[in-house]
Amino acid sequence: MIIGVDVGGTNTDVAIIDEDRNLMTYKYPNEYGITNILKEIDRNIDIKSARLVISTSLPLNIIASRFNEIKTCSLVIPGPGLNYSDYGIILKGAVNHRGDIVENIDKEEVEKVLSENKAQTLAISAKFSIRNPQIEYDVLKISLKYFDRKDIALSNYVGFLNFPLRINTTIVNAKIMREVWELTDAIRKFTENFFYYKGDGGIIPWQVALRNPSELYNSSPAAVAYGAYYLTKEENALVIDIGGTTTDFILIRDGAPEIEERVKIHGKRTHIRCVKSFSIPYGGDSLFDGELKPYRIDKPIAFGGKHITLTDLLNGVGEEVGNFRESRRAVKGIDCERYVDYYIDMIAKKAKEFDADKIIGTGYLARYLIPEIAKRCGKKFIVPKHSESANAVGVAVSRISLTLYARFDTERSIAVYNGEVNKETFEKVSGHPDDEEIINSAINKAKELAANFGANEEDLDDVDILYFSSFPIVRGGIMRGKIADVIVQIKPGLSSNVL
Amino acid sequence: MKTGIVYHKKYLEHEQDPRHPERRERLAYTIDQLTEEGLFEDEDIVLLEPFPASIEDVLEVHTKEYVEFLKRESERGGGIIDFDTNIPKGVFERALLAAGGAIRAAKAVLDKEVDNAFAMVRPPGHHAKPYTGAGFCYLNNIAIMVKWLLKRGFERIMILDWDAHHGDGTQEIFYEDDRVLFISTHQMPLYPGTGYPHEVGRGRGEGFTINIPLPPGTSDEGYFYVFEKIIEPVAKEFKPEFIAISAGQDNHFTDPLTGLALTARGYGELMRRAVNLSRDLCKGRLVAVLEGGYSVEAALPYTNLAIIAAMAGKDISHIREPKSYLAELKWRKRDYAMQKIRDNVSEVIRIHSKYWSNLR
Repeated sequence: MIIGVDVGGTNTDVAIIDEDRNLMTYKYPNEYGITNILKEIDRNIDIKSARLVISTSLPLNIIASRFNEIKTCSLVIPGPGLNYSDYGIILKGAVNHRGDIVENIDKEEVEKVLSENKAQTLAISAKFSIRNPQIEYDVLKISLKYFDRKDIALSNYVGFLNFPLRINTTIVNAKIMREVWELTDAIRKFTENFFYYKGDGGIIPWQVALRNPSELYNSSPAAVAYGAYYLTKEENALVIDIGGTTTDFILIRDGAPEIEERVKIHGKRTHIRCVKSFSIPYGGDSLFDGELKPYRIDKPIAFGGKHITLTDLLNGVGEEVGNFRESRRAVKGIDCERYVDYYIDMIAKKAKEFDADKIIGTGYLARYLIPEIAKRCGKKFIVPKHSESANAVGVAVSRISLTLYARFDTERSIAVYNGEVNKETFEKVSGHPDDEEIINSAINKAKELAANFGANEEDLDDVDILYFSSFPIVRGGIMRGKIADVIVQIKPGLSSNVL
Repeated sequence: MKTGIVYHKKYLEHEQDPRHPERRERLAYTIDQLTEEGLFEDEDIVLLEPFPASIEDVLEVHTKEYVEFLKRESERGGGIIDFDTNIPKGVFERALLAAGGAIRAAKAVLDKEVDNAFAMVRPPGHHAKPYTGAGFCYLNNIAIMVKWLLKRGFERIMILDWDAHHGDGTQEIFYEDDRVLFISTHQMPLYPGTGYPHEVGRGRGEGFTINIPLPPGTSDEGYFYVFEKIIEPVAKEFKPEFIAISAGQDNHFTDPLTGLALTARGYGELMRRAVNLSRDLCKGRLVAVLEGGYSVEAALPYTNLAIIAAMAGKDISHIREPKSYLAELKWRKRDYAMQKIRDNVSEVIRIHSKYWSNLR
């Protein structure tokens, strides 16, 4: 049994796939709350024995609406190099490119800065901390006197080299950490074993998400794309997702959506990656007050709201969405056709720009609007069953996609996996393993971790090597060992459970 | 200011022997440092992809016989040029890519793709002479680039070679050429044993070769002194249309082969002064080409960063080595060196005041 949940901007969608691969989907307004939704599911299905995957727009919402309101103290430990004073408060201490601590932190300095701080959240970033996180842990230890753990983010969990981007990402993490943590606590009341859905369409155990919650940023486009692909098996198409507040465009190529790297948040580049999508700020809940507005105030009258929306106009031209009679009463005297037409035209024009012959329509208005949109832009279309909850379907059908950042330093018999020092691996291996041996070692580690988190064996065959570099270490004219960096990822995609 | 970095993964492939001082590890840590500093994604930095130099461009500098020898031996592998320089399989293609990398840098500056550029290439080039490679070098990258520029109509090009070793190959190539001013600072005595102040050029090139030998322990102050007393005044008189720097990084105080005691910050400062000269004299047209530098862990990540940061006009005030390395600087720096530098500078001025009125 698999349960996929997508908490979107206005609605929460749930998809359940049972042992016989029967698919059921449900839609709830967000006001209902995740606890109530899980309670309701738990009444019919034992959540503990199911695979539960959650996609949440919480990080996106916080970043969109409260980014500047949540104050963050950014502690930066750059050591020698460029000037980072624009990125936060500079502290003493330095880790070098090999992961040696070449300068220690000054505990009194850290205490002084923290005791004078007024911000609610804390970001701790040391240069090269992904090679050795110890300095960040040392500062963390002192910080716990001044901050709750739920408000502190460390940069080594972000994983990639590029310090300025890692600082920016850590600041984002500090701001969204508490809410993701609280959501996690709420879900853990139902099960200790669940996953979050990432912006790139992979899924990660909640423990991993708590360290780097920015991975959850903007996961809905990925969910919609994989859901649309699963429901139609169309490998190349344009997905148009008509939601409550926005209409999103996502291109699928060879069965996977395009990924956007180093996403900018509030003007600053980060290490965040997510599915590339284009958003137009109009959807089924868009307000109508003489003209169609690019924002939402309330749900449609057809669903018990108080203001006329695009959905109500659609009922005005003869569709039957929700309580359509209420809508029709409200829109009397309005030229509904003109405004519905305005929306269709806007979407069709945008859709024309994408290089795809076919449109997959998703979202609760897709079946009413996509046929006309497709006609106007001269493309074929398909609106599959369960299209209104394609996002939750995408969440349910995804496989565990783990990314492993591994660094091997055989001179020191050290293997660092995702910033955690692991001394075991290389004690058995002599100083000069060949490159293939090192890569396989990283791949096996990634598979082992994913299997520990419950991944299916068949899902582990597809491992991408995202990065590899290695070179021998020479001192005093003698080869002392080898350093290698490997990034491998179990490819995001559909889980073999549902294929 | 936009600075180009010419780099290709293939530059890491060249290796005579994993234990050789000029080995892959040299650039590997630098790439780590630059990546972590975010430079490859900085809007002031443009990563430039090199192309291999054409044989025609190489033959502007090297003899047909040598090029054919190198090509043949490189296909086979195992040949020997000198004690430090053997011919590993495939080195010819990598050497062409290094020389092409220098041309790529110059081309990017001419095309105004960038303001200045650093060709972070391997193998190095400045010991390579027309008829042979030498001292870890196979093709003379900077000379091939300068010849390429001369063919494009430039008439006055200044080469500043601050590698710790004398740039004997480059000197020989332009020894009789008054279009190219070659200034070299280098430790003496040291390999290759040339570079005395009295080597001033020949024929039309007389006065256009300036050698400034430096004693061990020279340090940042010594270099700044040489810059002020000789390099800047001569450059102002010569009025180059293009400045090319043979950027050796073996002057660093942790270098295992030399003893010049320059710091990473000192490198940044030298480059800042060179950039200022290029701005004042030739619309900022400047290309640096990597030469030597063998302190792979303690120096290169910081010195390369310093050079690039200075070229891109970034704040270099925080660039330094980790404090734990400074003990080494203390014993490498020698007080008597400054007097020796003053003496050497006086001698160079005495010899060259005949050619350069700014030195009188």
